[in-house]
Amino acid sequence: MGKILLFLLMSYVIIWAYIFPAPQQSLGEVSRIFYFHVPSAWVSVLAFLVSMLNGIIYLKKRDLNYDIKSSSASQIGLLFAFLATVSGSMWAKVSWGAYWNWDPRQVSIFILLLIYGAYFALRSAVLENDKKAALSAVYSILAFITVPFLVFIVPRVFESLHPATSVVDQNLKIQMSPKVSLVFFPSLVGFTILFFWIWSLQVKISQRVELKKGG
Amino acid sequence: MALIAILLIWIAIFLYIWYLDSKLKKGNKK
Repeated sequence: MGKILLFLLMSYVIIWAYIFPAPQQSLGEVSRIFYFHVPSAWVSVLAFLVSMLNGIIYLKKRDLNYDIKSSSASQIGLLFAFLATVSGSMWAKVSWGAYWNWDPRQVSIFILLLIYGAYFALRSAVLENDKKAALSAVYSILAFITVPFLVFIVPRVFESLHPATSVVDQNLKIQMSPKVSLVFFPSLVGFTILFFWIWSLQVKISQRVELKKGG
Repeated sequence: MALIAILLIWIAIFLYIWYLDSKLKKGNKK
């Protein structure tokens, strides 16, 4: 039942993202990508948070299941960060004239991708399971500390072409027309549910891989 | 046209995740 609802919710988002007028008239038709770009970025932050929380639980309980949960969340987080980067650079091509401009927002997401890329390099470099889990848990905590800084602070401190007030204004008040909200918030909810679904599957797959390796 | 293409991509992604989900559930029962 939940799956059907998710299917209908995302279909609703896709259809209305096309039918309603473009969310940012000044940026033109391409701004419709907003409904997918921002939720992708949101899911990546959420996934990195979930990864850090499971890393902390692993350090407390020393149960390898939490390591699997933590690394699976990071994998999905990296995927969605990549999707946000790709959708963002498509938008940049139309609005700013080039796919990549080394705008502060692009630099910060690039650093974030490198940080989480290094997380997997670290995991693949350590063979012993307990050591790998402990190191990754500590790394996931350190890596997440950079997330709010790179995602929310850097692009607002440095002068950037990227809009900083498309969802909330400087007083953290939602600033969107009702029509845009009618598509944007369902999209956020849909992406979040999709994340938890994919995450649970990834955890199951990783658990099986570990079982096969162990036995 | 673009709308139909994106809807089809979404349907394909959804069905694939569903298929994976049911396959993993079946595996657990065995």
